[in-house]
Amino acid sequence: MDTMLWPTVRALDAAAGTGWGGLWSVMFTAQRAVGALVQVTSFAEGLDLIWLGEELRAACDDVATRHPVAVAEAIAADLGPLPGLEHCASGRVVVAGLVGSVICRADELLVADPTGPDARWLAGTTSLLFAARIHLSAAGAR
Amino acid sequence: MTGITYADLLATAGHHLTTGALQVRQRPFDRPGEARTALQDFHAVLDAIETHTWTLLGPSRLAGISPATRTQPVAAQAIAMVGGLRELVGAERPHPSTLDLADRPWAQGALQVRGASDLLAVHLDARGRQRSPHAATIGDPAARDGALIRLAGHLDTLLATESTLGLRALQAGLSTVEVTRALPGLDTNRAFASHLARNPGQSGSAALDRLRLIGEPLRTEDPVLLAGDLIHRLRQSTWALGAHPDYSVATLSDLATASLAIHVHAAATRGANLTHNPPTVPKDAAALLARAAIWRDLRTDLAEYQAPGPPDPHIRADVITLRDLLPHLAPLTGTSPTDPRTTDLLHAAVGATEEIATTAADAFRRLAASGHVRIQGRHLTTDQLGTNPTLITAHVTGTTTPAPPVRCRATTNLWSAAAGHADLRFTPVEQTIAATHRRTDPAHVLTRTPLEPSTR
Repeated sequence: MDTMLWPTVRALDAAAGTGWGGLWSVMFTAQRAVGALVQVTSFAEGLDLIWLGEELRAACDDVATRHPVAVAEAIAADLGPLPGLEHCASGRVVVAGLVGSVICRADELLVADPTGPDARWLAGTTSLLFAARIHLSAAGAR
Repeated sequence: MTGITYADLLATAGHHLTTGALQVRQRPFDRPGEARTALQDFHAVLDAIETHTWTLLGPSRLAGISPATRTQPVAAQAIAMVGGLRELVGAERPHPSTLDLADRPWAQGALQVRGASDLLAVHLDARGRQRSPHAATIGDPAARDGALIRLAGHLDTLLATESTLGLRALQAGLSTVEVTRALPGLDTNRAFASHLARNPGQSGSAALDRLRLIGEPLRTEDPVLLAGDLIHRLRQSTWALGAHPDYSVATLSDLATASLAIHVHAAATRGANLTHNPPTVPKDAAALLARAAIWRDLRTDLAEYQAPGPPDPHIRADVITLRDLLPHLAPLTGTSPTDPRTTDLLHAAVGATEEIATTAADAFRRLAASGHVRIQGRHLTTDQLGTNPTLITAHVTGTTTPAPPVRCRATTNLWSAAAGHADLRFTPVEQTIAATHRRTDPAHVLTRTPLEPSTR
Protein backbone atom coordinates (compact mmCIF):
# COMPACT_ATOMS: atom_id res chain seq x y z
CA MET A 1 0.00 0.00 0.00
CA ASP A 2 1.29 3.45 -0.83
CA THR A 3 2.03 5.60 2.16
CA MET A 4 2.03 9.34 2.23
CA LEU A 5 4.36 11.47 4.29
CA TRP A 6 2.85 14.39 6.11
CA PRO A 7 3.61 17.75 4.52
CA THR A 8 5.63 20.39 6.34
CA VAL A 9 4.08 22.82 8.73
CA ARG A 10 5.11 25.73 6.52
CA ALA A 11 3.14 24.33 3.59
CA LEU A 12 0.11 23.59 5.73
CA ASP A 13 0.26 27.01 7.32
CA ALA A 14 0.42 28.71 3.94
CA ALA A 15 -2.46 26.65 2.55
CA ALA A 16 -4.73 27.36 5.51
CA GLY A 17 -5.55 30.96 4.64
CA THR A 18 -5.92 33.86 7.02
CA GLY A 19 -8.26 35.14 9.73
CA TRP A 20 -10.63 33.01 11.73
CA GLY A 21 -11.05 30.51 8.92
CA GLY A 22 -7.30 30.04 8.79
CA LEU A 23 -7.08 29.61 12.56
CA TRP A 24 -9.80 27.00 12.48
CA SER A 25 -8.18 25.25 9.56
CA VAL A 26 -4.82 24.87 11.28
CA MET A 27 -6.46 23.81 14.52
CA PHE A 28 -8.54 21.24 12.68
CA THR A 29 -5.50 19.83 10.92
CA ALA A 30 -3.57 19.77 14.20
CA GLN A 31 -6.40 18.03 15.97
CA ARG A 32 -6.64 15.35 13.30
CA ALA A 33 -2.87 14.96 13.24
CA VAL A 34 -2.82 14.42 17.00
CA GLY A 35 -5.52 11.79 16.56
CA ALA A 36 -3.43 10.03 13.92
CA LEU A 37 -0.37 10.22 16.14
CA VAL A 38 -2.28 8.67 19.05
CA GLN A 39 -3.13 5.72 16.83
CA VAL A 40 0.48 4.78 16.13
CA THR A 41 2.41 5.84 19.21
CA SER A 42 2.75 3.73 22.33
CA PHE A 43 -0.19 3.65 24.70
CA ALA A 44 1.81 5.69 27.20
CA GLU A 45 2.44 8.47 24.69
CA GLY A 46 -1.09 8.23 23.36
CA LEU A 47 -2.58 8.89 26.78
CA ASP A 48 -0.56 12.10 26.97
CA LEU A 49 -1.42 13.21 23.46
CA ILE A 50 -5.14 12.62 23.88
CA TRP A 51 -5.39 15.71 26.06
CA LEU A 52 -3.70 17.91 23.53
CA GLY A 53 -6.24 16.66 20.99
CA GLU A 54 -9.07 17.41 23.40
CA GLU A 55 -7.96 21.02 23.83
CA LEU A 56 -7.68 21.47 20.08
CA ARG A 57 -11.04 19.90 19.52
CA ALA A 58 -12.70 22.19 22.07
CA ALA A 59 -11.01 25.20 20.48
CA CYS A 60 -12.18 24.12 17.01
CA ASP A 61 -15.76 23.80 18.23
CA ASP A 62 -15.57 27.23 19.87
CA VAL A 63 -14.33 28.90 16.70
CA ALA A 64 -17.00 27.15 14.65
CA THR A 65 -19.62 28.50 17.05
CA ARG A 66 -18.23 32.04 17.09
CA HIS A 67 -17.46 32.40 13.39
CA PRO A 68 -19.59 29.89 11.50
CA VAL A 69 -19.34 31.65 8.14
CA ALA A 70 -15.56 31.79 8.15
CA VAL A 71 -15.33 28.17 9.25
CA ALA A 72 -17.78 27.03 6.57
CA GLU A 73 -15.39 28.39 3.95
CA ALA A 74 -12.22 27.18 5.64
CA ILE A 75 -10.12 24.30 4.39
CA ALA A 76 -10.60 21.15 6.43
CA ALA A 77 -7.37 19.33 5.81
CA ASP A 78 -6.82 15.92 7.33
CA LEU A 79 -3.32 14.60 6.91
CA GLY A 80 -4.49 11.02 7.23
CA PRO A 81 -2.79 8.30 9.21
CA LEU A 82 0.95 8.21 9.72
CA PRO A 83 2.58 5.74 7.38
CA GLY A 84 4.31 3.81 10.13
CA LEU A 85 5.87 3.71 13.55
CA GLU A 86 9.15 5.08 12.24
CA HIS A 87 7.40 8.35 11.39
CA CYS A 88 6.23 9.08 14.92
CA ALA A 89 9.04 11.54 15.62
CA SER A 90 8.47 13.51 12.44
CA GLY A 91 4.73 13.43 13.07
CA ARG A 92 5.36 14.91 16.48
CA VAL A 93 7.38 17.69 14.88
CA VAL A 94 4.51 18.47 12.51
CA VAL A 95 2.02 18.56 15.37
CA ALA A 96 4.29 20.79 17.44
CA GLY A 97 4.63 23.14 14.50
CA LEU A 98 0.89 23.21 13.91
CA VAL A 99 0.16 23.98 17.56
CA GLY A 100 2.77 26.72 17.43
CA SER A 101 1.10 28.10 14.34
CA VAL A 102 -2.27 28.04 16.08
CA ILE A 103 -0.84 30.01 19.01
CA CYS A 104 0.77 32.58 16.66
CA ARG A 105 -2.42 33.00 14.67
CA ALA A 106 -4.46 33.42 17.84
CA ASP A 107 -1.99 36.07 19.04
CA GLU A 108 -2.25 37.91 15.72
CA LEU A 109 -6.04 37.94 15.92
CA LEU A 110 -5.80 39.21 19.48
CA VAL A 111 -3.41 42.00 18.50
CA ALA A 112 -5.67 42.96 15.61
CA ASP A 113 -8.63 43.47 17.91
CA PRO A 114 -7.49 43.49 21.56
CA THR A 115 -10.78 44.78 22.93
CA GLY A 116 -13.15 42.83 20.71
CA PRO A 117 -15.68 40.23 21.84
CA ASP A 118 -13.23 37.40 21.10
CA ALA A 119 -10.26 38.86 22.96
CA ARG A 120 -10.90 37.04 26.19
CA TRP A 121 -11.50 33.75 24.42
CA LEU A 122 -8.33 34.11 22.35
CA ALA A 123 -6.24 34.85 25.42
CA GLY A 124 -7.72 31.88 27.27
CA THR A 125 -7.29 29.50 24.34
CA THR A 126 -3.69 30.52 23.83
CA SER A 127 -2.95 29.79 27.48
CA LEU A 128 -4.70 26.44 27.28
CA LEU A 129 -2.75 25.45 24.18
CA PHE A 130 0.51 26.48 25.79
CA ALA A 131 -0.37 24.17 28.66
CA ALA A 132 -1.60 21.41 26.38
CA ARG A 133 1.63 21.50 24.39
CA ILE A 134 3.29 20.11 27.50
CA HIS A 135 1.57 16.81 26.75
CA LEU A 136 3.38 16.75 23.42
CA SER A 137 6.68 17.48 25.08
CA ALA A 138 5.98 14.79 27.68
CA ALA A 139 5.21 12.30 24.93
CA GLY A 140 8.38 13.19 23.08
CA ALA A 141 10.46 12.86 26.21
CA ARG A 142 9.67 9.18 26.65
CA MET B 1 -17.83 8.46 56.56
CA THR B 2 -17.77 7.30 52.96
CA GLY B 3 -17.32 4.10 51.07
CA ILE B 4 -19.77 2.31 53.36
CA THR B 5 -21.53 -0.51 51.57
CA TYR B 6 -24.80 -2.26 52.25
CA ALA B 7 -22.89 -5.31 53.46
CA ASP B 8 -20.85 -3.15 55.86
CA LEU B 9 -24.00 -1.75 57.45
CA LEU B 10 -25.65 -5.12 57.96
CA ALA B 11 -22.44 -6.71 59.23
CA THR B 12 -21.94 -3.90 61.74
CA ALA B 13 -25.58 -4.16 62.76
CA GLY B 14 -25.13 -7.89 63.38
CA HIS B 15 -22.10 -7.21 65.54
CA HIS B 16 -24.00 -4.66 67.63
CA LEU B 17 -26.99 -6.97 68.03
CA THR B 18 -24.81 -9.81 69.26
CA THR B 19 -22.98 -7.51 71.66
CA GLY B 20 -26.28 -6.20 73.02
CA ALA B 21 -27.64 -9.71 73.48
CA LEU B 22 -24.52 -10.75 75.38
CA GLN B 23 -24.77 -7.76 77.69
CA VAL B 24 -28.38 -8.61 78.56
CA ARG B 25 -27.44 -12.20 79.32
CA GLN B 26 -24.32 -11.46 81.33
CA ARG B 27 -25.28 -8.51 83.47
CA PRO B 28 -28.48 -7.50 85.33
CA PHE B 29 -29.82 -3.96 85.11
CA ASP B 30 -28.87 -1.70 88.04
CA ARG B 31 -31.91 0.56 87.80
CA PRO B 32 -35.43 0.40 86.32
CA GLY B 33 -34.45 3.20 83.95
CA GLU B 34 -31.77 1.03 82.41
CA ALA B 35 -34.28 -1.73 81.82
CA ARG B 36 -36.71 0.69 80.17
CA THR B 37 -33.92 1.93 77.91
CA ALA B 38 -33.08 -1.64 76.93
CA LEU B 39 -36.73 -2.29 76.09
CA GLN B 40 -36.79 0.90 74.03
CA ASP B 41 -33.66 -0.22 72.14
CA PHE B 42 -35.18 -3.66 71.63
CA HIS B 43 -38.17 -1.99 69.98
CA ALA B 44 -35.87 0.25 67.97
CA VAL B 45 -34.24 -2.80 66.39
CA LEU B 46 -37.60 -4.43 65.74
CA ASP B 47 -38.81 -1.26 64.07
CA ALA B 48 -35.67 -0.98 61.95
CA ILE B 49 -35.83 -4.61 60.84
CA GLU B 50 -39.52 -4.37 60.04
CA THR B 51 -38.94 -1.23 57.99
CA HIS B 52 -35.97 -2.74 56.21
CA THR B 53 -37.91 -5.89 55.35
CA TRP B 54 -40.54 -3.81 53.64
CA THR B 55 -37.93 -1.69 51.94
CA LEU B 56 -36.55 -4.87 50.43
CA LEU B 57 -39.92 -6.30 49.53
CA GLY B 58 -41.53 -3.14 48.28
CA PRO B 59 -45.11 -2.48 49.31
CA SER B 60 -46.33 -3.41 45.85
CA ARG B 61 -45.22 -6.97 46.40
CA LEU B 62 -47.64 -7.55 49.25
CA ALA B 63 -50.46 -8.52 46.93
CA GLY B 64 -50.56 -12.23 46.39
CA ILE B 65 -47.87 -13.13 48.90
CA SER B 66 -48.85 -15.04 52.03
CA PRO B 67 -46.92 -17.39 54.30
CA ALA B 68 -48.35 -20.26 52.28
CA THR B 69 -47.13 -18.88 48.98
CA ARG B 70 -44.84 -21.32 47.29
CA THR B 71 -43.70 -19.18 44.40
CA GLN B 72 -41.85 -16.71 46.62
CA PRO B 73 -41.25 -18.65 49.85
CA VAL B 74 -38.51 -16.35 51.17
CA ALA B 75 -40.59 -13.22 50.70
CA ALA B 76 -43.59 -14.93 52.26
CA GLN B 77 -41.63 -16.04 55.33
CA ALA B 78 -40.07 -12.60 55.64
CA ILE B 79 -43.52 -11.05 55.74
CA ALA B 80 -44.52 -13.55 58.40
CA MET B 81 -41.42 -12.90 60.50
CA VAL B 82 -42.23 -9.19 60.81
CA GLY B 83 -45.99 -9.72 61.14
CA GLY B 84 -47.46 -7.68 63.97
CA LEU B 85 -44.23 -5.87 64.81
CA ARG B 86 -45.53 -2.52 63.60
CA GLU B 87 -48.51 -2.81 65.98
CA LEU B 88 -46.11 -3.58 68.83
CA VAL B 89 -43.52 -0.88 68.29
CA GLY B 90 -45.89 1.78 66.97
CA ALA B 91 -46.28 3.35 63.58
CA GLU B 92 -45.27 6.81 64.71
CA ARG B 93 -42.87 8.52 62.29
CA PRO B 94 -40.20 9.41 62.99
CA HIS B 95 -40.11 6.50 65.36
CA PRO B 96 -39.20 7.74 68.87
CA SER B 97 -36.17 5.46 68.92
CA THR B 98 -34.62 7.33 66.00
CA LEU B 99 -34.33 10.43 68.17
CA ASP B 100 -31.98 8.69 70.62
CA LEU B 101 -28.58 8.02 69.08
CA ALA B 102 -26.79 6.97 72.26
CA ASP B 103 -23.84 4.61 72.02
CA ARG B 104 -25.65 1.47 73.15
CA PRO B 105 -25.25 -1.71 71.11
CA TRP B 106 -28.90 -2.22 70.17
CA ALA B 107 -29.47 1.48 69.51
CA GLN B 108 -26.43 1.43 67.23
CA GLY B 109 -27.59 -1.80 65.62
CA ALA B 110 -30.95 -0.23 64.84
CA LEU B 111 -29.17 2.80 63.46
CA GLN B 112 -27.15 0.62 61.09
CA VAL B 113 -30.21 -1.25 59.86
CA ARG B 114 -32.06 2.04 59.30
CA GLY B 115 -28.99 3.25 57.44
CA ALA B 116 -29.24 0.18 55.20
CA SER B 117 -32.89 1.06 54.48
CA ASP B 118 -31.89 4.60 53.59
CA LEU B 119 -29.06 3.30 51.43
CA LEU B 120 -31.51 1.29 49.36
CA ALA B 121 -34.03 4.12 49.28
CA VAL B 122 -31.66 6.65 47.69
CA HIS B 123 -31.32 4.46 44.62
CA LEU B 124 -34.98 4.94 43.73
CA ASP B 125 -36.94 8.16 43.47
CA ALA B 126 -40.36 8.86 44.92
CA ARG B 127 -42.03 7.26 41.89
CA GLY B 128 -39.90 4.15 42.06
CA ARG B 129 -37.73 5.13 39.11
CA GLN B 130 -34.08 4.15 39.22
CA ARG B 131 -31.59 6.80 40.27
CA SER B 132 -28.42 4.79 39.80
CA PRO B 133 -27.05 1.95 37.71
CA HIS B 134 -27.21 -0.23 40.81
CA ALA B 135 -30.91 0.23 41.45
CA ALA B 136 -31.76 -2.80 39.32
CA THR B 137 -29.90 -4.95 41.86
CA ILE B 138 -32.40 -4.01 44.54
CA GLY B 139 -35.25 -5.42 42.49
CA ASP B 140 -33.38 -8.63 41.72
CA PRO B 141 -35.32 -11.46 43.47
CA ALA B 142 -32.20 -13.49 44.26
CA ALA B 143 -30.43 -10.49 45.79
CA ARG B 144 -33.55 -9.57 47.73
CA ASP B 145 -33.96 -13.10 49.07
CA GLY B 146 -30.32 -13.20 50.16
CA ALA B 147 -30.73 -9.92 52.02
CA LEU B 148 -33.95 -11.08 53.67
CA ILE B 149 -32.27 -14.23 54.90
CA ARG B 150 -29.44 -12.23 56.41
CA LEU B 151 -31.97 -9.91 58.03
CA ALA B 152 -33.84 -12.91 59.41
CA GLY B 153 -30.61 -13.95 61.10
CA HIS B 154 -30.42 -10.58 62.82
CA LEU B 155 -34.04 -10.80 63.94
CA ASP B 156 -33.46 -14.32 65.23
CA THR B 157 -30.47 -13.11 67.27
CA LEU B 158 -32.55 -10.33 68.79
CA LEU B 159 -35.67 -12.36 69.52
CA ALA B 160 -33.58 -15.09 71.14
CA THR B 161 -33.00 -12.66 74.00
CA GLU B 162 -36.67 -11.76 74.49
CA SER B 163 -37.27 -13.98 77.51
CA THR B 164 -33.94 -13.09 79.14
CA LEU B 165 -34.63 -9.42 78.62
CA GLY B 166 -38.08 -9.83 80.19
CA LEU B 167 -36.59 -11.54 83.26
CA ARG B 168 -33.88 -8.89 83.62
CA ALA B 169 -36.52 -6.15 83.37
CA LEU B 170 -38.61 -7.81 86.10
CA GLN B 171 -35.45 -8.17 88.24
CA ALA B 172 -34.85 -4.46 87.84
CA GLY B 173 -38.26 -3.69 89.28
CA LEU B 174 -40.45 -3.08 86.28
CA SER B 175 -44.04 -4.22 86.60
CA THR B 176 -45.27 -7.37 84.91
CA VAL B 177 -47.79 -5.29 82.96
CA GLU B 178 -45.11 -3.01 81.62
CA VAL B 179 -42.81 -5.89 80.67
CA THR B 180 -45.56 -7.92 79.07
CA ARG B 181 -46.73 -4.93 77.10
CA ALA B 182 -43.22 -4.43 75.71
CA LEU B 183 -42.45 -8.11 75.25
CA PRO B 184 -45.69 -9.90 74.46
CA GLY B 185 -43.97 -13.11 73.33
CA LEU B 186 -42.75 -12.97 69.79
CA ASP B 187 -42.23 -16.71 69.42
CA THR B 188 -44.11 -16.90 66.14
CA ASN B 189 -41.98 -14.18 64.63
CA ARG B 190 -38.87 -15.90 65.88
CA ALA B 191 -39.96 -19.24 64.48
CA PHE B 192 -40.26 -17.75 60.99
CA ALA B 193 -37.04 -15.75 61.37
CA SER B 194 -35.15 -18.76 62.66
CA HIS B 195 -36.44 -20.97 59.86
CA LEU B 196 -35.66 -18.36 57.23
CA ALA B 197 -32.17 -17.72 58.62
CA ARG B 198 -31.35 -21.37 58.16
CA ASN B 199 -32.57 -21.39 54.58
CA PRO B 200 -29.97 -23.29 52.60
CA GLY B 201 -29.10 -22.47 49.05
CA GLN B 202 -29.54 -18.70 49.32
CA SER B 203 -26.66 -16.39 49.90
CA GLY B 204 -26.25 -12.65 49.77
CA SER B 205 -25.85 -11.01 46.39
CA ALA B 206 -22.38 -9.61 45.81
CA ALA B 207 -23.85 -6.78 43.73
CA LEU B 208 -26.24 -5.79 46.50
CA ASP B 209 -23.50 -6.11 49.10
CA ARG B 210 -21.38 -3.61 47.18
CA LEU B 211 -24.18 -1.06 47.01
CA ARG B 212 -23.09 2.39 48.19
CA LEU B 213 -24.63 5.79 48.55
CA ILE B 214 -24.98 8.10 45.57
CA GLY B 215 -22.87 11.26 45.49
CA GLU B 216 -20.50 10.45 48.33
CA PRO B 217 -17.48 12.70 48.75
CA LEU B 218 -14.24 11.28 47.41
CA ARG B 219 -11.82 9.59 49.81
CA THR B 220 -8.84 11.71 48.92
CA GLU B 221 -6.66 10.42 51.74
CA ASP B 222 -5.91 7.14 49.96
CA PRO B 223 -5.02 7.07 46.24
CA VAL B 224 -6.39 3.57 45.64
CA LEU B 225 -9.69 4.40 47.33
CA LEU B 226 -9.76 7.72 45.49
CA ALA B 227 -9.35 5.95 42.14
CA GLY B 228 -12.10 3.53 43.12
CA ASP B 229 -14.39 6.39 44.08
CA LEU B 230 -13.69 8.20 40.81
CA ILE B 231 -14.52 5.10 38.78
CA HIS B 232 -17.65 4.60 40.86
CA ARG B 233 -18.66 8.20 40.21
CA LEU B 234 -17.95 7.94 36.49
CA ARG B 235 -20.19 4.91 36.34
CA GLN B 236 -22.94 6.86 38.08
CA SER B 237 -22.41 9.92 35.85
CA THR B 238 -22.58 7.79 32.72
CA TRP B 239 -25.77 6.20 33.89
CA ALA B 240 -27.24 9.65 34.57
CA LEU B 241 -26.66 10.57 30.92
CA GLY B 242 -29.60 8.29 30.15
CA ALA B 243 -31.99 10.47 32.10
CA HIS B 244 -30.28 13.80 31.41
CA PRO B 245 -28.53 13.72 28.02
CA ASP B 246 -26.15 16.64 27.56
CA TYR B 247 -25.90 16.46 23.74
CA SER B 248 -22.15 16.26 23.98
CA VAL B 249 -19.92 13.89 22.07
CA ALA B 250 -17.01 15.32 24.03
CA THR B 251 -18.43 13.80 27.22
CA LEU B 252 -18.64 10.40 25.55
CA SER B 253 -15.09 10.87 24.33
CA ASP B 254 -13.96 11.62 27.89
CA LEU B 255 -15.57 8.40 29.07
CA ALA B 256 -13.79 6.51 26.32
CA THR B 257 -10.52 8.11 27.40
CA ALA B 258 -11.07 7.02 31.00
CA SER B 259 -11.87 3.48 29.86
CA LEU B 260 -8.78 3.43 27.65
CA ALA B 261 -6.62 4.52 30.58
CA ILE B 262 -8.16 1.89 32.85
CA HIS B 263 -7.48 -0.91 30.35
CA VAL B 264 -3.95 0.25 29.66
CA HIS B 265 -3.05 0.51 33.34
CA ALA B 266 -4.78 -2.80 34.08
CA ALA B 267 -2.56 -4.39 31.43
CA ALA B 268 0.45 -2.75 33.05
CA THR B 269 -0.41 -4.39 36.37
CA ARG B 270 -0.04 -7.71 34.55
CA GLY B 271 3.44 -6.87 33.40
CA ALA B 272 2.84 -5.15 30.05
CA ASN B 273 5.41 -2.49 29.22
CA LEU B 274 3.52 0.13 27.21
CA THR B 275 6.10 2.86 26.95
CA HIS B 276 7.11 1.81 23.48
CA ASN B 277 5.38 0.55 20.39
CA PRO B 278 4.98 -2.35 19.86
CA PRO B 279 4.55 -2.99 23.57
CA THR B 280 5.88 -5.93 25.56
CA VAL B 281 2.77 -7.89 26.37
CA PRO B 282 2.58 -10.96 28.61
CA LYS B 283 -0.02 -13.49 27.57
CA ASP B 284 -2.60 -12.64 30.22
CA ALA B 285 -2.48 -8.92 29.38
CA ALA B 286 -3.12 -9.42 25.67
CA ALA B 287 -6.90 -9.40 25.97
CA LEU B 288 -6.81 -6.18 27.97
CA LEU B 289 -4.64 -4.47 25.38
CA ALA B 290 -6.87 -5.68 22.56
CA ARG B 291 -9.80 -4.04 24.34
CA ALA B 292 -7.70 -0.93 24.98
CA ALA B 293 -7.07 -0.70 21.24
CA ILE B 294 -10.83 -0.76 20.67
CA TRP B 295 -11.29 2.10 23.12
CA ARG B 296 -8.55 4.00 21.32
CA ASP B 297 -10.26 3.40 17.97
CA LEU B 298 -13.49 4.58 19.50
CA ARG B 299 -11.90 7.81 20.71
CA THR B 300 -10.48 8.48 17.27
CA ASP B 301 -13.85 7.71 15.74
CA LEU B 302 -15.71 10.05 18.10
CA ALA B 303 -13.27 12.86 17.28
CA GLU B 304 -14.88 13.14 13.86
CA TYR B 305 -18.23 14.16 15.27
CA GLN B 306 -19.40 17.59 16.32
CA ALA B 307 -22.24 18.14 18.76
CA PRO B 308 -23.57 21.30 20.40
CA GLY B 309 -23.06 20.28 24.01
CA PRO B 310 -19.81 21.12 25.82
CA PRO B 311 -18.16 18.33 27.79
CA ASP B 312 -19.69 17.63 31.17
CA PRO B 313 -17.29 19.49 33.51
CA HIS B 314 -17.73 17.00 36.35
CA ILE B 315 -17.00 13.99 34.19
CA ARG B 316 -14.02 15.72 32.63
CA ALA B 317 -12.63 16.68 36.03
CA ASP B 318 -12.99 13.11 37.25
CA VAL B 319 -11.33 11.71 34.13
CA ILE B 320 -8.42 14.11 34.47
CA THR B 321 -7.97 13.27 38.14
CA LEU B 322 -8.04 9.58 37.27
CA ARG B 323 -5.51 10.16 34.50
CA ASP B 324 -3.14 11.83 36.95
CA LEU B 325 -3.66 9.12 39.56
CA LEU B 326 -3.30 5.90 37.58
CA PRO B 327 0.35 6.30 36.49
CA HIS B 328 1.35 6.45 40.17
CA LEU B 329 -0.67 3.35 41.04
CA ALA B 330 0.20 1.24 38.02
CA PRO B 331 3.19 2.56 36.02
CA LEU B 332 3.03 1.81 32.31
CA THR B 333 6.52 0.38 32.45
CA GLY B 334 4.95 -2.85 33.63
CA THR B 335 6.53 -2.82 37.07
CA SER B 336 4.37 -4.34 39.77
CA PRO B 337 2.11 -1.87 41.59
CA THR B 338 3.46 -0.83 44.96
CA ASP B 339 -0.01 -1.16 46.44
CA PRO B 340 -1.37 -4.68 45.90
CA ARG B 341 -4.96 -3.40 46.01
CA THR B 342 -4.36 -1.69 42.66
CA THR B 343 -4.62 -4.92 40.68
CA ASP B 344 -8.02 -5.75 42.16
CA LEU B 345 -9.18 -2.18 41.72
CA LEU B 346 -8.32 -2.10 38.04
CA HIS B 347 -9.73 -5.57 37.49
CA ALA B 348 -13.07 -4.38 38.88
CA ALA B 349 -12.75 -1.13 36.93
CA VAL B 350 -12.47 -3.04 33.66
CA GLY B 351 -15.85 -4.57 34.45
CA ALA B 352 -17.22 -1.10 35.12
CA THR B 353 -16.02 0.11 31.72
CA GLU B 354 -18.13 -2.55 30.02
CA GLU B 355 -21.15 -1.10 31.76
CA ILE B 356 -20.02 2.41 30.83
CA ALA B 357 -19.76 1.31 27.20
CA THR B 358 -23.26 -0.10 27.19
CA THR B 359 -24.77 3.00 28.78
CA ALA B 360 -22.75 5.44 26.69
CA ALA B 361 -23.69 3.56 23.52
CA ASP B 362 -27.34 4.19 24.36
CA ALA B 363 -26.55 7.86 24.96
CA PHE B 364 -24.80 8.07 21.60
CA ARG B 365 -27.68 6.33 19.82
CA ARG B 366 -30.12 8.80 21.32
CA LEU B 367 -27.86 11.71 20.46
CA ALA B 368 -27.52 10.51 16.88
CA ALA B 369 -31.27 10.06 16.55
CA SER B 370 -31.81 13.62 17.75
CA GLY B 371 -29.99 14.94 14.68
CA HIS B 372 -27.67 17.05 16.82
CA VAL B 373 -24.58 15.08 15.81
CA ARG B 374 -22.83 16.51 12.80
CA ILE B 375 -19.80 15.42 10.87
CA GLN B 376 -17.46 16.96 8.36
CA GLY B 377 -18.57 15.78 4.92
CA ARG B 378 -14.98 14.90 4.09
CA HIS B 379 -14.91 12.31 6.86
CA LEU B 380 -17.51 10.21 5.09
CA THR B 381 -16.33 7.31 3.00
CA THR B 382 -17.78 6.45 -0.38
CA ASP B 383 -19.90 3.71 1.14
CA GLN B 384 -21.26 6.09 3.75
CA LEU B 385 -22.01 8.75 1.13
CA GLY B 386 -24.04 6.40 -1.03
CA THR B 387 -26.10 8.35 -3.52
CA ASN B 388 -27.34 10.94 -1.04
CA PRO B 389 -26.91 14.33 -2.79
CA THR B 390 -26.73 16.27 0.50
CA LEU B 391 -23.91 14.10 1.79
CA ILE B 392 -22.06 14.21 -1.51
CA THR B 393 -22.33 18.02 -1.58
CA ALA B 394 -21.01 18.20 1.98
CA HIS B 395 -18.20 15.84 1.05
CA VAL B 396 -17.17 17.98 -1.92
CA THR B 397 -17.54 21.38 -0.27
CA GLY B 398 -16.16 20.29 3.09
CA THR B 399 -19.14 21.51 5.08
CA THR B 400 -20.70 19.70 8.01
CA THR B 401 -23.79 17.59 7.73
CA PRO B 402 -25.92 15.61 10.19
CA ALA B 403 -24.14 12.29 10.68
CA PRO B 404 -25.86 9.69 8.48
CA PRO B 405 -27.18 6.55 10.20
CA VAL B 406 -24.68 4.31 8.46
CA ARG B 407 -21.80 6.35 9.92
CA CYS B 408 -23.35 6.33 13.40
CA ARG B 409 -23.84 2.59 13.15
CA ALA B 410 -20.09 2.11 12.76
CA THR B 411 -19.58 4.04 16.00
CA THR B 412 -22.32 2.11 17.77
CA ASN B 413 -20.61 -1.11 16.81
CA LEU B 414 -17.37 0.16 18.27
CA TRP B 415 -19.22 0.86 21.51
CA SER B 416 -20.52 -2.70 21.39
CA ALA B 417 -17.03 -4.04 20.84
CA ALA B 418 -15.81 -1.97 23.79
CA ALA B 419 -18.61 -3.41 25.91
CA GLY B 420 -17.46 -6.88 25.00
CA HIS B 421 -20.47 -7.88 22.92
CA ALA B 422 -19.41 -6.85 19.46
CA ASP B 423 -21.44 -7.55 16.40
CA LEU B 424 -18.92 -9.60 14.50
CA ARG B 425 -20.04 -8.12 11.22
CA PHE B 426 -18.56 -4.83 12.37
CA THR B 427 -15.32 -5.61 14.09
CA PRO B 428 -12.61 -3.01 14.65
CA VAL B 429 -10.95 -4.56 11.64
CA GLU B 430 -13.67 -2.99 9.56
CA GLN B 431 -12.84 0.33 11.15
CA THR B 432 -9.24 -0.15 10.17
CA ILE B 433 -10.31 -0.90 6.63
CA ALA B 434 -12.49 2.19 6.65
CA ALA B 435 -9.56 4.26 7.88
CA THR B 436 -7.40 2.87 5.11
CA HIS B 437 -10.10 3.74 2.63
CA ARG B 438 -10.14 7.30 3.90
CA ARG B 439 -6.38 7.52 3.63
CA THR B 440 -6.52 6.97 -0.11
CA ASP B 441 -9.49 9.27 -0.59
CA PRO B 442 -8.01 12.33 -2.34
CA ALA B 443 -10.71 14.69 -1.07
CA HIS B 444 -9.69 13.85 2.45
CA VAL B 445 -6.07 14.78 2.26
CA LEU B 446 -4.66 18.13 1.37
CA THR B 447 -2.84 17.05 -1.74
CA ARG B 448 -4.35 19.27 -4.37
CA THR B 449 -1.66 21.83 -3.80
CA PRO B 450 1.84 20.44 -4.24
CA LEU B 451 3.41 20.34 -0.83
CA GLU B 452 6.97 19.70 0.05
CA PRO B 453 7.66 16.63 2.19
CA SER B 454 8.27 17.15 5.85
CA THR B 455 11.84 17.71 6.84
CA ARG B 456 13.30 15.46 9.44
